[in-house]
Amino acid sequence: MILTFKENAVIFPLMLPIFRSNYSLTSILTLDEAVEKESRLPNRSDSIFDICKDYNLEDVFIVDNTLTGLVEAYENAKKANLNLRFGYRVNVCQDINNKTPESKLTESKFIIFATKTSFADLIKLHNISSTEGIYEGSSRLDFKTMKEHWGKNLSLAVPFYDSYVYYNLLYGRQCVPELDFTDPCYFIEDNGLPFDGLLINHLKETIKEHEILPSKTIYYRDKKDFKAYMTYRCILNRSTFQKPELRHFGSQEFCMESWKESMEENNAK
Amino acid sequence: MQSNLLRFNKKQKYIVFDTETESLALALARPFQLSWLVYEDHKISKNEDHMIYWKDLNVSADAARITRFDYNLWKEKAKDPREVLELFESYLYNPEYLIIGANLFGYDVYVINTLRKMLGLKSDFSYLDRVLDIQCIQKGIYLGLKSIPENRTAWQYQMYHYVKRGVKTSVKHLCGLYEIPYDESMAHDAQMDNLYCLQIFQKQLMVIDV
Repeated sequence: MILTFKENAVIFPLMLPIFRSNYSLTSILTLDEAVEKESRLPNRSDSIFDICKDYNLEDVFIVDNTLTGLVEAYENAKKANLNLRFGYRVNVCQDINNKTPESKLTESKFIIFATKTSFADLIKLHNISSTEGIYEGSSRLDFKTMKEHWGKNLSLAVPFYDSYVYYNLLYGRQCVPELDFTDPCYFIEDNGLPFDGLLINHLKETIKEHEILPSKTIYYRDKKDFKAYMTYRCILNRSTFQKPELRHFGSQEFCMESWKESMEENNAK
Repeated sequence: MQSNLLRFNKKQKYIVFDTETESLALALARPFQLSWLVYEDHKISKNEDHMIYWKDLNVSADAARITRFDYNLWKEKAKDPREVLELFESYLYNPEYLIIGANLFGYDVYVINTLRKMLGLKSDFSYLDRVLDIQCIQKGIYLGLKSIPENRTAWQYQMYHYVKRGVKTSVKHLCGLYEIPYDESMAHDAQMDNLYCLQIFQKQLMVIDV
């Protein structure tokens, strides 16, 4: 398994739930302190840590577009006795000094995970991305910078959506990753989107089996929460519920309920 | 001469389909109309137009205006969704048929998926590799392509995501481009759109190798 850390080897379930918090502005899940089920206020926003406790998870994978929630995540994961695996989801381009619209065509997402105990290397890369790397409000890194600051406390993953594979296959871009400094793992997901199968087949054809990790991005707890999630996304997008104008926003499966169903299905097999 | 090209393949069967929905929310919008035509042996052999019944149908004001939704007509004609879907899927999942339409990758494939989900069925996009979207093909033509690349579905996604100012691919625009008479008063009528799509597709086959 690629995504393991020497000090604290992680045993993954069949499918890794990867939570996104509200700090990413693409999720309605919070990093609030876990509360016993009976003591939770009705209609309270769902906390990632509550969900982990309810599902008896020992490790919590949180991947955000920012490190704003890192301290809160660290403290509340500790209180909930959960092993925090925090990842920074960032655009990586060919050259952060190239601040032209054309350079955006070389961008794709990567996830940089930190070990449980040491976030220094991750924070360093984050700081570079959001200072000298920033372009049009978006934090960016390039492969040269990543290589220069890469350390044993970091681990790299290629997300299923918005990765270089995704953009090259479905957008016709020509993102060229330079990953000679580490061996990344590749997440695959199946959320019932029409192109999921196309992308899965492509990854299985081009990536070694042991580098592929089934996962599911979690933006909300249950399928019934999709409307609340969509409302939130529409507000941020300044669009309406009837006309969300959110491309490929056609699945209600980005939730723990769906993760549970998939796990049960796998177990039944 | 490449006899395997669709323009020469007179035996190829097609369905052209379109949906009208209560809103534009991809994961939630239920179709109230599903229309398709079957084209085989050089002619339209079937022209199916079905209203779909939902107890609590809630057509948004915008959708009603654009599609000229007539509640009384819908109520009079609406059928059980399962009955309509089963009939439609007898063509959709039949590998003999190529599936033609406009903006299928960005919209209608989601609508069919939503319909399946509403009826308790699982997502099944196995028909996707038989889909030919006239808007994606047209972008390829605009880019000067002589033929559609091998990985047709991925390529169509690339074309779907290709956005450039001034590149117009609406059914109305394409009708004008290919000199197909277009009746403005019938815009967004699912049945008419299917007829337009079929004619546009036939014209495109003469321009690009598929």
